[in-house]
Amino acid sequence: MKPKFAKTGLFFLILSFSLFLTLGMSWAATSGPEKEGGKLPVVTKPSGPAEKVEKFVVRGREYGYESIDNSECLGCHKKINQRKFAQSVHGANSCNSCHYDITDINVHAEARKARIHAGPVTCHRCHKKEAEEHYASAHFLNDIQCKDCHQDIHEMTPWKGDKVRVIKTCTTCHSYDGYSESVHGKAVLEGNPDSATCSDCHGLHKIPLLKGDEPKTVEFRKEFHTEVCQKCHADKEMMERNKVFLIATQTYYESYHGKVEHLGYPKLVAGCTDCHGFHNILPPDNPKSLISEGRLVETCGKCHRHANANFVQ
Amino acid sequence: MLYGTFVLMTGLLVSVFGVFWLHTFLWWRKDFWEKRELRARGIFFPQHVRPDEAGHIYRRFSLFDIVIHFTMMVTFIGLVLTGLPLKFSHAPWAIGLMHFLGGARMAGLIHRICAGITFAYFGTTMAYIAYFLFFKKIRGNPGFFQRLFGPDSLSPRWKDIQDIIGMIRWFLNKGPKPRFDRWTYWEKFDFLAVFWGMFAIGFSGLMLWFPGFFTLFLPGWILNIATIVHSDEALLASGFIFTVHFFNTHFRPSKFPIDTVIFTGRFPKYELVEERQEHYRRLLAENRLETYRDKYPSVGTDLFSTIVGFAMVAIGLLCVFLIAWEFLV
Repeated sequence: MKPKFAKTGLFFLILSFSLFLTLGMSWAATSGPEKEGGKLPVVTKPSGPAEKVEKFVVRGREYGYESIDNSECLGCHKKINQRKFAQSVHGANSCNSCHYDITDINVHAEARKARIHAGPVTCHRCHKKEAEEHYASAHFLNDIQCKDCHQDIHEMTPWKGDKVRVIKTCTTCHSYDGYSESVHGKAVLEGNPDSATCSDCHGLHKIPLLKGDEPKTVEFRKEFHTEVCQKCHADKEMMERNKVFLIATQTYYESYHGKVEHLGYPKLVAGCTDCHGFHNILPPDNPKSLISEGRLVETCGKCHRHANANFVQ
Repeated sequence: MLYGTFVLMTGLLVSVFGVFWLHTFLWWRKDFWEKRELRARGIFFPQHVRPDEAGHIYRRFSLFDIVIHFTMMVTFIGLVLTGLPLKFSHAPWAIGLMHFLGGARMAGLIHRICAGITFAYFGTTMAYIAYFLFFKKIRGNPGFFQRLFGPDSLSPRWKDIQDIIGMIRWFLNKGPKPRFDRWTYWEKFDFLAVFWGMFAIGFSGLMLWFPGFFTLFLPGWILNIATIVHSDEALLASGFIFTVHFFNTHFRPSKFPIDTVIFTGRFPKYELVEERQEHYRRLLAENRLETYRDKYPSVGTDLFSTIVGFAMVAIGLLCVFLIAWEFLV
């Protein structure tokens, strides 16, 4: 390399290096403090006429409302048992925390046809999560509101995850469809908290549409024919506790049916419920079961039209 | 029974890959070293041909061979691409690939179409073998056994054993490179592996394709065995082709990056002399060498061979990568 060339090259190298160095350092310096600054604005409670009126707290929210003493309501509304209401889960509330449009008892007593908002319009003020879930559910779309399931609204005690109560509530309208004889049903009715009740598969409030109006999407079929079962059947500990076939989900996903389902094409292959049934799930030694020896050809034959006795071996 | 099948198949895969990957590694090392030595000494030009004969081209594969190999190549890739997302359905790339193929139903359709074509060329090959063994007019009119174990046959023979031993010696710097006739032992193995694969993969595939028919006289659990056999044999076949076969034909230092002879059907004289010396001498002795003389491939052939060849090799390497991901990640 010629000396002049080398000198110029070195000069430019040092120049560009120092340029980049200063640029980089100044960039680093400016982006630093941003991370520590900027506090979130503090939420302050609005001040208002609340000081003058009796306040009470329902689910962490303050209501500066003039509440009416329950005994005043129950003086006329004798059907509601005051003791049971007090012991219920809403016992700490006043009547007009739900029936909030009753502001003055005298006006209400004199008016004929006093309107009472008792449906979801009121429940959602506190039960926001459930209201959200219910809003898009099959029940709401068929005009079934909170009170239709929660008929004992004034006496409701906390359910504490009692699955039998769930069954009782659902079957006020829906038929058993073989559930009470099924493996799941029997276990729940015996008090096993692991087994599946209506809400474990269908959800409590967020009940999606299924038959008939079922959105014919792939995800839907995948969810309700197979995925919903995985919640428990993929949990090895739970299965072991209850002496259920441990590797059911594992072997399913190793099979052709499972692989195609996992890849996202559940319409083409069998999901859990296509073979085992939905509500009437029975062990294979029960002749009524869809997977009993006598019924296998019929079950497999739902898709494999040419199935014969050999096929199901 | 099912577990036993699994053990057997896995054992087969491990042993085949174990042996052949070792062979490949040893070959690579020797080839790399030899090429280095030649180049360090300034030798870039093939040694065994006169400069004025360097451009002489000889035919190796007939049009029939080329068409069959091309068909086989395309359908094989089709089968592998449609089969992989199913076998490795829990891999992160499986859903994407299945979607790319048009969904499970479409992939299944493509798979069966390629399988059908595979059966077709298998039948054609069987017919050709019958023709070669019984009807083809060959000089000297050799008998059945002479044809089967002769130099132009793809059947293994004693010379192949000698060649294998010779190659291992050469790998370990203990002997000269063996002199090969028309078909080397690794080419014969490639052919016979597919041959054997047809029975295993093809037959189990047919069982899975027509379960109703086969369960008329077979018990249903045979379908589970068929699934294991089909998917493991296919893994063996594809893994072997994309690693061992690709190395033997394309990636060895002396052939890299690609050997287009399978599409052009022709190779230059120095290759015939250096790599198929027995064949060369036999042709000279029988005065038949010049009957194989051919023209340099046309532009079209050249372009097609290189581009399509590269495309296939690339897809094959992609498949290897996907399979390797499955086992290593």
